[in-house]
Order: sequence, then C-alpha cells, then structure tokens
Amino acid sequence: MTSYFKGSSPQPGEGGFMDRRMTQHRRGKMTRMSKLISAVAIASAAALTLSSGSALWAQVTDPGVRGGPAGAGTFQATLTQFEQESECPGQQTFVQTVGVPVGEVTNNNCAGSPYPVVIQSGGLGPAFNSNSCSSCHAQPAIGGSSPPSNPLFGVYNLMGAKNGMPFFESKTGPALVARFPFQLNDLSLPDGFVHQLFTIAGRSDATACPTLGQPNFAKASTNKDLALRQPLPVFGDGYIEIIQNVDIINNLNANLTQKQALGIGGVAQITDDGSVSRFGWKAQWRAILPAVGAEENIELGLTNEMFPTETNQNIKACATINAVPEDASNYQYWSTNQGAWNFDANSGRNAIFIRFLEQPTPACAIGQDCSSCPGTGGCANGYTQFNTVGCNLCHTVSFTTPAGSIPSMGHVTTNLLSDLVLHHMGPCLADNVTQGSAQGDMFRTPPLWNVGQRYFFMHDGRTTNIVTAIEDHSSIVTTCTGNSQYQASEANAVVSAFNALSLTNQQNLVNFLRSL
Amino acid sequence: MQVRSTINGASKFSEGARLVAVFSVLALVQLIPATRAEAQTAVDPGPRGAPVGAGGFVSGLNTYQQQIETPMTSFIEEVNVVAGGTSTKRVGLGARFDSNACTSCHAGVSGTSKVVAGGSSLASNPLFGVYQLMGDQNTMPYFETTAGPTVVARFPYQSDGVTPDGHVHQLFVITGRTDAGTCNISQPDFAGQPASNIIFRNTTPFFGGGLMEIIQDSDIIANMNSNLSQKRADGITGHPNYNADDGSITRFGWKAQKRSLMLFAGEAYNIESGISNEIFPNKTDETVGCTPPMPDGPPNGNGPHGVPDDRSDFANPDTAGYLYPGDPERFGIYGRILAAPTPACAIGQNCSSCPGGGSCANGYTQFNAVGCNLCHTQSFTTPPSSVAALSNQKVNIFSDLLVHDMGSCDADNVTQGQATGDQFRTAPLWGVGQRFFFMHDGGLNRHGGPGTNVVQAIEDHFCAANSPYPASEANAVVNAFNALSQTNQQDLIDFVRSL
Repeated sequence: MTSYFKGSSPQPGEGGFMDRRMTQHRRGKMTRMSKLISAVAIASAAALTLSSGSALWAQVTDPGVRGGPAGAGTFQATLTQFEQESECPGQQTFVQTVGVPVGEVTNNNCAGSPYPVVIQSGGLGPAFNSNSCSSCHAQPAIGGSSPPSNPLFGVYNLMGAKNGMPFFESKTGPALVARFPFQLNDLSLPDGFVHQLFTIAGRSDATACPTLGQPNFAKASTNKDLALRQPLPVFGDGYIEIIQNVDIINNLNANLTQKQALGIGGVAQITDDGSVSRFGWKAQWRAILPAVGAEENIELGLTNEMFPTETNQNIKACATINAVPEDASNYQYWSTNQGAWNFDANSGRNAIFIRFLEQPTPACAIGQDCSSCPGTGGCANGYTQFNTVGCNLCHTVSFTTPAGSIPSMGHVTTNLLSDLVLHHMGPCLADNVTQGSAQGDMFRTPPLWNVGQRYFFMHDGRTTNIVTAIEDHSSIVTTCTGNSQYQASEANAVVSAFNALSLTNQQNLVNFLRSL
Repeated sequence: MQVRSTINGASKFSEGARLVAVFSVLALVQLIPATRAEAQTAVDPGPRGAPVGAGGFVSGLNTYQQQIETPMTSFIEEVNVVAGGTSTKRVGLGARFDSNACTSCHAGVSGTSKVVAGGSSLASNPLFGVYQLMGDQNTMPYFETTAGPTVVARFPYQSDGVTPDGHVHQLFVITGRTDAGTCNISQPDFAGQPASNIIFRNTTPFFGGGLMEIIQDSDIIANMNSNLSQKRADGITGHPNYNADDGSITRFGWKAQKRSLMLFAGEAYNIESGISNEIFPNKTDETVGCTPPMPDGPPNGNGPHGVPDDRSDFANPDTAGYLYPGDPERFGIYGRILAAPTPACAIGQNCSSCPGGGSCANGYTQFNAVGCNLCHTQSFTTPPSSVAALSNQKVNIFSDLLVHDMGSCDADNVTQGQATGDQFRTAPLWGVGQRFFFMHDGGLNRHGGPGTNVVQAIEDHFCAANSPYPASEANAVVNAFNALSQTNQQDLIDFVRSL
C-alpha cells in the first residue's frame, strides 16, 4: 500500500528552489510564446484546409475585460426579509481572512441586522492554498473569479510563513491550485487530489508547527504530473443547483443530429442519488453546501462538519493545533432571540451566501444590441453567430429552474450558457485527472455568464485572450505533444466553423462573449 | 408478489440443506490454505438483554449541547409526509422512498421495547407499517419479510447487464397516497430482476458516529501498517476508501463510502425518504405531478413549495438557532453527540452480564488470538475535538475502517469509490451484541433469508477464491476460529454478544 499522504518534504539543501523554478518558468513562458506563433501558423493552415473561407481568426481581437457595471455580486432582489437578513452573516464568513487560532468575533459589518453577527474565525492550515474565500473568488465582485493580480503573493509568507512560491504562480497570472494526476512517488498509481501550495510552518500564530514541508512541485513538473486549476465564479449557483436532472438530460439529448454531425457527445456526471453533479471544472460537485465543505478544507485547511479532519497529517503537532472540526455548529446560540444564523456553522452560512447571489447581468440583454456592447459592438449578430456555428450545442443558453422552496428562486430563466455535462476536449486540454465519470480529457462545459469580465480562461488559466480560448477548444488548431491516448476534442468542428466566419461575424461573436 | 413470498419462504426452509451443500463444495474446491476447518458447535446466545447501553448522549457535553438533546431527538424521530401537517420540516416524502422516518430503520436495539434512535434494523420489519400508509398502493417486494431485516435494494448493472448501475432503487412510491395528488408512478420491477442483479443492504447503526468521523487518517494508516507480518501470513491486506474531494478516508456505510455524518444524512434523506435537501437538492424522480409543489395534503394545507424540500429555515431571526440549519446539518449534530454503545462487560473483562454464561474475558483473548482483531481493530483514540466531550476518547469500535476483499460469496458487484465488488468495510462491532441481523445483506443474498446467527456470520466471512474475485481475506482467521476448542469458541461468541 502506498502512503496516502501527499507530497514530500523538501530535501535538506534544497534551498534556491524558488529562484531556479522562476528562471525555468520565464524560460518556459518565452518558449510558449514562440510555440504560440507556430501554433497560429498551423492553425491558419488548418483553417484554410477546413473551410473555403479565409482564415482570419488571428485578426480578431479580444476587446478585453469589459467595463461598465459589474452586474454581478449582488443578491437576488426578491428575497424575503429574513432571507435578506441571512445574507450578510454568510458574506462575512466568505470574506473573512482566517489565521491559525480558532476563535469567535462579533462582527459589526452587517448594518440593519437585528442581532450582532458572530463569526467563527481561524482554522487555517496546516496546508492551504489561501486564507480567504474572497481572495480568489474576487473578480469582478465577491464570489467571482481570479483577480488580475494574483492574491497568493499577499498570502504565502504572511506572519513569518516560510513558504516558497511555487514556480507556476505569477503575479499577474491566475491563482492556481495544483493536482498531481498520479502519485508523486509512483506514477503508476492514480492520485488526482489537490496538493496544497502552502503550509503554516513559521507563522507566528502557528508556533506549535515550526516545520512542515510544501509538496515537491518541481518533481511533479519534471514528471509531467502537474495539473493546475483556476477558481470558478459562484454567481447564480443557487439556480444551477436546483435545475432539474431531467431538464439537463433532455437538453443533452436534444439536437442530436446536429451534435452527431459535429462530433459532439457529452456525458452527465451522475452522483450517489442518481442526480447530475454540476459544479467544478469536472462537474465533481452536486450542490453548493458539499462544495463549500470540500473547499473550506481543501483551500483553507478549515476542517468542518462535512470534512472533519485535516488534509495534511504528516506532522501530528501541525495537524492537531486546533480541535476538529474547526468550523462547527455554534451550540451556544441554540436558543431564541440570538440571531438564528449565529448557530449555523460557517459552511452552512457560506452556502446560503452563495445561494442568494444573483445570476450575472450581461452588458446587453442576451441576443440584443446595446450601447454597452464591448469593442466594435454587434452583440445581436454575435449571438446569432454563436448559435450558428454551434457554440450553443454545449454552451446551452438557458435552463429554467423548477418550483423552488425559496419561492423567488423558482421558475427563473437562467442564462448560464452551459449544458452542465462533460465533454472530451482533446489531448491539449487533458489534465489526466479522473473525477467520477470525468476522465482525464473531460471537462464540464463551463457556464459563460460573466465571462466578459474574466481575466483568465480555460481550467488552467492558460490564456487571457478570449479568442485564444476559443481556439484552445480545438485539438486541430491547437497542437501539443503527449496525451495521444485521448480522442479529438468534441469542439473541433465548431471551432472550425468559427474560423470560417467572416471577420465581422467572428468579431461580433467575440464582442458578444465579452458582453456577458 | 404472492409467488415471490412463497419462493422466499421455500428458500428459507431449505437454507440448512443448502448450507451443508455449500460447505461440501467448498471442502472439495479449496486447497490449502483455503480449506475450511471443521466448524465446532458454538451457539449464538442471541441478542443480549440489559443493560441497553445505547441511544444515550455523550457524557461531558456542555450546557448548550445538552439543551438541544431533546429537540434533536424529537427531530430525528419525525415521520415525514408528502404534504400536509403543520411543519414545513416534515414534508417532501417521495416520490420514491424506502421509509418515512430515520428511526423506522435506525431503531433496533435488543433489550429494549422502544425504538432507540440511531440503531440498526428492528426485529420486526417496520416497512410493513409504512408501505400502504394513507392509501399508498405499494406491494411489498418479495425480499422484505415481517421478521426479516429492513433492506434496501441496489441493481449492480443496468438492464443491459453490463453497464454499471449500483444505485439504490427505492422500494416504494407515493402513488395513491391521499397527500400525493396525481402522482402516478410504479415501483421498480424487483421480481423481474435476475437474482444476480439485485443486492440488498441492511441498516447500519450510527451510535458513536461523532467519534468515528474525527478519527485521524494518520491513525487509520498507522494501524493499517501495523502487525504487517502477521497480517501477511493470514492473507490480510485492506485499504482505505478515499473521498474524491479532500482525499480523506471515508468511513461510513457498508463500503466506507461516506466521509461524515452530515454528508451521509444528505444522501440518506434523498435516497431513503425522497426528501431533497441542500446536499442533494433535486428529487430522485422528476416525473410531472410527482415533484413539488404538491397539492396541499390533509389536514392543514402545508404543501412543499419546491426543491429542495428541506432547507435552512428562514422563518425568523428570533427563532431558536437549532431550527435554522437544514436537516442534514441537524442530523449531523444529533449523530455527533450520540454516545458509543456500552458493552455488557468492560472490554476484556468478565462480568455477570456476559451473555450465555460464558467467559467474556477468555472470549476477548481468543478473539485476539485467532486474529479477528487484525481487521476488527479494537480501538482508536480521537484527536482534540471542538465538541470537547469527543476529545481524546479511546473508542472501542472494533474496526480498522478499511475495506477488504471478502470473496465472491459476499460480493455484491457494486463499486463505490475504491471499494470494488467484493470489498466491504470492516463493520464496527460495537453494539453487535444487540443486533438482530448480520452481514451487509442481512443474510438475504447469501442465504435467501434473514441471517440472525452470529456464529453463521463468522463462518460467512469465509470464501474461497472464485474468479473474478480473490479469496476472502478472512479465511485464515475463520479457520483459526474453527480450530479452537468448543469452550474457546463459545467464549468468543459470548464476548461478541457482550458488545
């Protein structure tokens, strides 16, 4: 039996880890740029062979992160008074910065709350990726995606922590977490779990844990055993979690002739109760609450009532600094007239906060033009082209929620632009991580709502350019070495159809995406 | 259905004969060391009597935690309906379900006449009081019997016989109930399933679950890696089942498929009672007319409004805090503060309550001598807990919390996480002295009828290699048990029944 415990401690004399890695990283980036140029050339050639039209995609420009109102991060407008009063206690747990010692603070940030809001604090580590939910879920508002400036550079050496910054994080890059598809010390065995970037060793609030090594990311990289993922926004997730399974399956089975002609399949990730799992890059989570529980423990090292023990138990003194679970029901608020939410664990409150976040509002109503359409405009035509080339065959424009036990969340048309199922995306996107029925080259169609305001695209944040992101869907246009065991991307024909559009149509489509 | 019952009855009568036949086949087929030693004639003294020692709360809880014991108990005992009644927390049953209350199945403890919330199957199958309630039109599946275990059914494969399924197929539907409106769906065709494609699972108790969920992974791994030479000599390995999210060791359920009480509860609410919740927010059957909003049922017009049926309660910030979270969180709290079972005699000691009049002290010695403890690890110690009463407790669970190959005889062909078709978690033995039914299937798959005899349960751990499954990891230990003197065997049995 191979040891379950992840990673390995840095070897003695491994100083200089950081510098060496950074140098390699810079070199790697330059190499990638030249690769990109050659990829462009190949792509143009491929597009030429695939269509009678001219291959003009290289001239299409990404208008960039759109301006105007964020249109995200607000709460649903039609909640009842007490539902509204439950928003802030959840939000305060989402935005708090956690240190190591566990405590309780009375928070006065919830103006209008009829009772003081008591927040459970602390619980960081021993291994963690960041110290706050909102550090990574930040753009363009609390609950969003990775901000333009990598927040982890403000976290990794806080309070004397002795962490080195892993080579793949950069100051202007996305906040990335790392998985090892196979076990670090035996590549024949699957792993696939998140290996946290940092540890609390050296922090002044963690004196009981003076030494705890970070995983050996350099070795994983050498082994080509490193899969990176960036944060997903959580806006509108309260709607997504109640979309009926039958609607997802019916949509999967709709337009079959067209899908089959284009090579598009799709598989629903089925979970324990037979329902469709739908959150995360591989649709690995069914609902907000268990995802929050997992994320608290995986990203912050905050043990909770769903995941009650520390992820890193390599050194007992580090794993037992705090009693577990660190985040728990707050029994002293069991009674009446104390603010009922104060009884609830942070995980429950966080889930409520996320559930009540409104779906993102696009710059222009879907399918229509407006003066806020980014770049050169043409959002209406862009939407038409989006559907014409077949983007909508996976990025399904909308679902309608069923009756909701929170009545205002029922019968809502949600423009998530996703079918919520898994697709083969080809060797170049494959990360070799299997999660449930999501194989190494399969990803959930990510919802595109709010994509107009994102800085980084694809699961690993490999590009900031949305045009490149479209091309990255193709395993014809984009080429790579390795992973030849995987089939072609299901998006190939649609990307080719995009490349065959006139420049104006392409540009309008891109502008439409940036309006979301 | 009538026919099926008869078939079941017939197979029950012939069980003894079949068992003998199986034994002789095994004796022929197996080669050393897989030969089964001759079993002796130890007798199961049966489910033990007083003291009950189960269903109480952890001692040392703080004042606040003690205050919620009573409301949490009444919550766990709630009987759910499709619609109606005065409590929004009690609606949402179905459209498909196995039972209507947690405590109908998690109820049984011998030595008491009342339901002990948190236990295992009652001696008298509670589903016979559920399946036709309020006009419900269900027929009782052939495998449920009034004196048998409460079991749920899974189909290992889909109808093509090849594609894995493995999910629970609920026994009952709400069709016909007076609170079920126009919902009109049918029960699964259990009788039409080939015998090879229907497997049963018996209820597991969750006493002491709060202690079990915080046992450190590092301690489970260290225990797995202890006594290796002895384990290897006996053919015992075992491995953890891992949660796909945080990589921690899952430990609840027959295949160790669940990580914590709260996650288990979310699944159980939706799978067993059909009550969608904040962990599994949609109904398991979404047939039109069977999903909320249901028409308001009698008597007070309290129809569930939509999904999830159960959720955080935003009634009023002045209400008691324990009413605020959804039921999976509240179930987690109840299970967390529920004490571990207390054995009749302190572990390893004799006392006048030792069942069958035997020597529980010698039985414990023999239990360890033959190697039962190599998988049924006596105890773990909990780490410091934020529920202080659960901290640093030596818990006598009698399980290593790992999954092991148990051979083709018990294989159910269901894969859950890293637990493959013949692998099961070492079932914790605390409280086993008060259980009525044994093994994951309660005897139904393997013997065609209830398995109520703890001696038989020990023998059922034995299975020769039979493709595609390896031999049971317990073979050498079962042989060692069978090689004991009758007195030692009996003492061991009496010790097990003292738990």
